[in-house]
Amino acid sequence: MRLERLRDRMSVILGDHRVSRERRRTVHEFGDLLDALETAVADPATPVRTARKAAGVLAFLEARAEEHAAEFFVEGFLLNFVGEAMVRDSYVSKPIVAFLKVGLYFYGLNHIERYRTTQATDYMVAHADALDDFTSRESLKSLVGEGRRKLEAGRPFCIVHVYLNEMRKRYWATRRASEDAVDTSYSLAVEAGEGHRSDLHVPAAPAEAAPVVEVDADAESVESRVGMMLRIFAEGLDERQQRIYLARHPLTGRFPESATSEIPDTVEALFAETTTDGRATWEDLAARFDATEKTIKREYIKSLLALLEGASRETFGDRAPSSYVRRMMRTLRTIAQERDLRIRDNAGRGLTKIVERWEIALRFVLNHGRSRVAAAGEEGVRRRDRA
Amino acid sequence: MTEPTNCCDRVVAYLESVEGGTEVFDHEKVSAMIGGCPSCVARVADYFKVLEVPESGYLDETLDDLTLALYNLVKALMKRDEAREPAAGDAERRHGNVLFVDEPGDADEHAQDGDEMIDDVQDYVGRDEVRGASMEGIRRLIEESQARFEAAEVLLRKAAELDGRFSLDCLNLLGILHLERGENAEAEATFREIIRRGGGDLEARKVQVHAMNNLSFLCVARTDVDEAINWARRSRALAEETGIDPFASRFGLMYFYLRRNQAGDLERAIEEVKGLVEAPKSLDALRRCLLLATNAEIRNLVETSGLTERFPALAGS
Repeated sequence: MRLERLRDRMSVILGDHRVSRERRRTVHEFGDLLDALETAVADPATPVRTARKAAGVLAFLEARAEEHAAEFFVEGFLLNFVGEAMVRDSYVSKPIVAFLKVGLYFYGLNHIERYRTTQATDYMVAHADALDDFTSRESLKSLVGEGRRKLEAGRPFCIVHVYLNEMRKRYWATRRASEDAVDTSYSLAVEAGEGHRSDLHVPAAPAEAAPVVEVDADAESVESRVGMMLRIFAEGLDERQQRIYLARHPLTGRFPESATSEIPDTVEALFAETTTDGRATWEDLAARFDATEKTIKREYIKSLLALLEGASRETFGDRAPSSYVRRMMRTLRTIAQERDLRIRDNAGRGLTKIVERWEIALRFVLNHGRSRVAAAGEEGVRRRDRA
Repeated sequence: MTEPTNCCDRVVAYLESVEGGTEVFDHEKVSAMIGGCPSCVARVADYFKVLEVPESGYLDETLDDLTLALYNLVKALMKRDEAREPAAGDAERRHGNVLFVDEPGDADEHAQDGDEMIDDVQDYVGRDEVRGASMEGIRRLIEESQARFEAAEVLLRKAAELDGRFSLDCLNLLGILHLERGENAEAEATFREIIRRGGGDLEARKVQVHAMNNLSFLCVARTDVDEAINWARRSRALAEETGIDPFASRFGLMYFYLRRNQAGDLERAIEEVKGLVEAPKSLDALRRCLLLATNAEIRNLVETSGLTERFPALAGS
């Protein structure tokens, strides 16, 4: 009965041309989802357990529609309700995933157009990629697990919020603007004309080509950021940590001269002797330093922490404004201090994932100046919207 | 045709050429064209809005995982079979001559994983039948195979039909089970099916390496040593090309050359052993293989050909 009322309300929205095209499209897709769920419940070919889950999702959506009469068909709300229903019943089904994928795609595009105007194309590409990964098996299983834990703890679960965070992380991970200091330190081969980044350990980042370092007004700031990182590298890491870090992140060229003016000769000599023929394995490093692999990894983690902490302190002072950066530093500190060196997170991902997150955090810190400009631009857009 | 004069025209022309297939979308290039123009941003947004949102890879990935769970389950059952005391009339069910590339792990865990994945597949598609296979049927086979090993063979055939990422591995294991029971025609047909179905995927090529190698041992069983050498050579070449350990191919070649024993064959066998003893892992595996009861003939050939004097590392075998 309640389902019929829901359908009546949908028909009114679909026939009302004053309602935005985006909302009508989402409601139309939602209609398809309801049809598919009803079929799943009624069809005798549906496995009993699956039919029960589909019925649970329908009942949940009907109840939410009754509770949130006015807002139920607002795109963000609708996506969140369907996401919550999927998580609550652990029911990852084709019609639900299709609805969420299409819904989040258009919702994300609108969000980018509205709030990310200055980096719109970069965000749109990150969005298209992130959404594909978001609906993979691994991601959906972890989403359902995480979502259930939240709901059981009495906290809300908003799939839109989770997705937009993923998109933002992807944007930062794949960002490779030429003035990015981390890229500059990785891709010095460009200066030597090789145009290829031989060691990029971040799977999410495109590895096919090095960014072109253009000499522009921002070049000075790039050099100062590279200089800052080199200074932290020289002062914050002991010699063994420096050697281990360089063995895992081999240099493929040289730094701008002005950036190296403040670093001691011993570190410059270390750069000069660093080989460029690929990244050393943990086994090699353990043999080279006559230590266990665990010790080498611990020293490596410590060096990552020193670099991130140093950059954050110089950029933001004592407290980084980003909770992501603070969390990353806390994670690295905990790992380095733990006796057993537990480098696997809850999802079972290991050091590669940690290094990937570390790089995202470091990029965030180093691009802070740029992100402030972008934020000012967004604020301008919001003000215009209100006007 | 005149060159576009402003940013909007340039963006429109560029997007048209992307849609026409003459250019690949390059977001950095588009970013440079757009600058700060709001109407350009709107045009690019419109372009993204008409892109087709591809279907999620959830089902394919779940079936991939399911085929892996089934493959590991059967391997673990073989290991479990091997560990228990043999009963009368059980001789044909010993798997001591099978070399596992990875340790199979715990059978109960794999069975539980498989069960969970079957639930996931059913939830996703909303019915029991997927790619021509009944999920409930596979669930029953998982249960049965733990009590009765014969059911594991049917399970492997079903897993092969699911066309998941590890289906070829399942087929290879099935071929091995045929080989163990002396069902040579069935084994050959299975290995040839793997080579035929292979394709260019790296995982598939890795399985082809093993299938070619297994086929070479099958040729020896019907005393066609020349053909065995051909398959083992192909297997080794493919292993080297795909970057996997060519141990099994080299071991086979060593044995086949010693067995054929024509002019130059001993030198060829020596070359293969050289390759094996140089890698510490291969040397260990070589020693283990030579100790297997079923490899008594190979052990004997190694000793009588003088290879143990030439390679003292083999002496303990």
